Amino acid sequence: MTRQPNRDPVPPKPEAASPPDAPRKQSSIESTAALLEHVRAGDEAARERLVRRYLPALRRWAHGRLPAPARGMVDTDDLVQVALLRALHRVESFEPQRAGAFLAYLRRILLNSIRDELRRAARRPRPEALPEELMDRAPSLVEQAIGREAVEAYEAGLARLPESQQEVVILRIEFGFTYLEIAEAVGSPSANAARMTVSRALLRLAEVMDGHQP
Amino acid sequence: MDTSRSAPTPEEVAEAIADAEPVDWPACESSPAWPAVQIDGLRRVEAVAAAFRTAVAAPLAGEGEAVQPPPLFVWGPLEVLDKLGEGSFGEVFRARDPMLQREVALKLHHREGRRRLAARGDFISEARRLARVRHPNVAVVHGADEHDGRTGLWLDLIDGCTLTELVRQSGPLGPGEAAAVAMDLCGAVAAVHAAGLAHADIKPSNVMRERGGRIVLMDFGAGVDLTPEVPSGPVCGTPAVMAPEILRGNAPTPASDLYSLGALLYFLLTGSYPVEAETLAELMALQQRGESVPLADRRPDVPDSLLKVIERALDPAPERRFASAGELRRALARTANRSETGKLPATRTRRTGLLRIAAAIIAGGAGLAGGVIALKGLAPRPHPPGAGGPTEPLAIEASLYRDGPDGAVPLTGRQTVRPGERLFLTVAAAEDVHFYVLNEDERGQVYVLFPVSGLEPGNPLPSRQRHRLPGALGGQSQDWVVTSTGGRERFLLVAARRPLVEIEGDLILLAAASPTREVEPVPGVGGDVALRGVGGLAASPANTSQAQRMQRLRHLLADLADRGEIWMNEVIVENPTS
Repeated sequence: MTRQPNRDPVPPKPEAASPPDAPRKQSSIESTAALLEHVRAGDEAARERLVRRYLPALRRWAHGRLPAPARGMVDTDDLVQVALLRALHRVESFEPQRAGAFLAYLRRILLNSIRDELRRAARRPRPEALPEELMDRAPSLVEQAIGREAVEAYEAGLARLPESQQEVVILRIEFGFTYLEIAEAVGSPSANAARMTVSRALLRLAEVMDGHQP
Repeated sequence: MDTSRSAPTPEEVAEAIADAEPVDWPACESSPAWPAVQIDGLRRVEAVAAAFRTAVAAPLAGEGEAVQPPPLFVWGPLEVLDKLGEGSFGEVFRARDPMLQREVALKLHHREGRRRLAARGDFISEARRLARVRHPNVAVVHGADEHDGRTGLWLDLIDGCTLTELVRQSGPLGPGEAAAVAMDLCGAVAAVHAAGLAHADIKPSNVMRERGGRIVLMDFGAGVDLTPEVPSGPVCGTPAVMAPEILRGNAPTPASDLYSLGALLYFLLTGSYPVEAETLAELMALQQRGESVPLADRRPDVPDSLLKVIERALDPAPERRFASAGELRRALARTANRSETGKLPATRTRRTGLLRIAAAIIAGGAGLAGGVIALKGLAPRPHPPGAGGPTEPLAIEASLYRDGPDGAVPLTGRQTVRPGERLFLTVAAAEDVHFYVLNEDERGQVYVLFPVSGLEPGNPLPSRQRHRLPGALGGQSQDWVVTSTGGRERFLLVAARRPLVEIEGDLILLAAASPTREVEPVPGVGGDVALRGVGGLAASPANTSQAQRMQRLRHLLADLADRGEIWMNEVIVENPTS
């Protein structure tokens, strides 16, 4: 049945050193939150670690969102790194409470970066350059699979969800995070709780995706 | 049409989509419970999810798979990520299983001690022992092997803390909470015994409380086979929790495990052990002379019934202890029931029993102006050694209202509500609080009414504002809607300065108010999102596991209230069936 404990509970308390004889989880939300804290304080090494942590997932994601003709032209890695750095520059003014919020924010910046980059690439006087309209219309891998309308309906539906639900949908569906990772990113008490949050968010998304509010 | 196949619920379908598992769409389509529009919506979501999965899973040239930092080292099938702890037998690491894409706890044996332990078949037999036990409160072992000269086993990675840490950090537990933990452990130990094993090393640092509250028995490094023909080797364990007969050199038995459970319970209540000594010889001498510190001296507030149970578990003579873990569990359950029905010894007058709060609200309903329930004076209990200092009680104002054509009517505990009526709650607090609202009907059906995912505000509720709960969706205030008759309805209101991780594990297993759930339209009710409406249309028997869970919750909450850690209140209204 439907159940949901708490949308943003359990900021994990810093805990004492691990016991000698018991396996325990070192929560990586703590480190993400801590990393962001350090980045805010101007710690370059922390910035480096944060980039390294999220770069692979974001690169894969960007790969799926780039139009096919652009994939050979735009260096996905550069694109993602630039977006990450942009996000990190703004981290001082924007204080995400959770790693999930930070990732959702990153995704927004990345989508914008992809659009900017595509326009720039189309204008660039290079032999392989494509006309801007063509570039704009060229489908991304995701669009190739289900069509542009479906992706647009999804984006519109996503925007209608509360931010906390947007985050878990993005993390699970777009970034392919495990429930444990999602739990850590959104501060959910457990992987099971995160699973519950995701399925509720998907139910909600199904309701609002075609534009009708129940 | 295949009528034997039941259609999955919307939640199950959503979960399958999230997990890339096939959905039984034909069953949904042939079920009257599934509106076509909902099926369409979910199929669209499924298509989007599949598209992302395919597009995003396509590997990039030159890209490593790792989303996480590179491993410290690789051990057999596992990538070892970081060290979690170290013990006499070896080290414990967080590791990643790249095939199954999950994280596990890996216990790796010290290389130098290998010969000694290999002689006892130690790690591998631990894995075999663990693999024989299947119980929700026992850590699941995923595998055991030997690589690079190191034996190891990997098991569930538990996100939580040990009971030792719990008591060191937050102080001893209240009697109800301690008994609830011990009851879970009794179940785990009964499963161990049923598998023909004695654990032989039950101690607070071998038990973890997962975030969310699940109690998990870990570490079978000392466990022994009970089969008589297998000679048991030298026994390792922590002396203070070990039964006297074990210290004298006898083989571990179920009875010695029960002694350890008793000592663990003693520790949960006091932060120390019944017999403590500098040396093993001294410990044995004290045990032999029966010189333990009576629990009542350290915790005068523990009810007699619970004291007796613990004393019996700690009896130096194994034959006088409980006959089995199940019997100990039953005895603990009886003490829990006794305190719940209010038959408490005089020492427990400080306990703010839920039932008594309820009775007070009903009896004194007329005195509660405007339905405002402002209960500010929950006396903190005297703090036992190791507990933090006393805290100021939370100042909360909370009122439950019925919204109707004539405006909002405060519910003080005497009114009647009927299906179709809307309820809301106003809450104001002097500081930020985490707020929880539970609803239990006469059949024992329990709903979590707050927090509700997707509504604003969520927890914590900011201070110095009057919040209207359950909250707003897209800027529009929502109400709870009574969707079924439930006899007498109890609304349990709880506020705390921190997220109550100890109850959240139970909360996720209870039905929640849901803005996504379609409810039967009730004539005369507008189009607001109905929030309460999970089942409960027919008079079905109460769900036992839910009732038990609720009982456990009540114990935990009563203990937290005892400690002055939470503010708690209950409103009872009538929701008659005719």
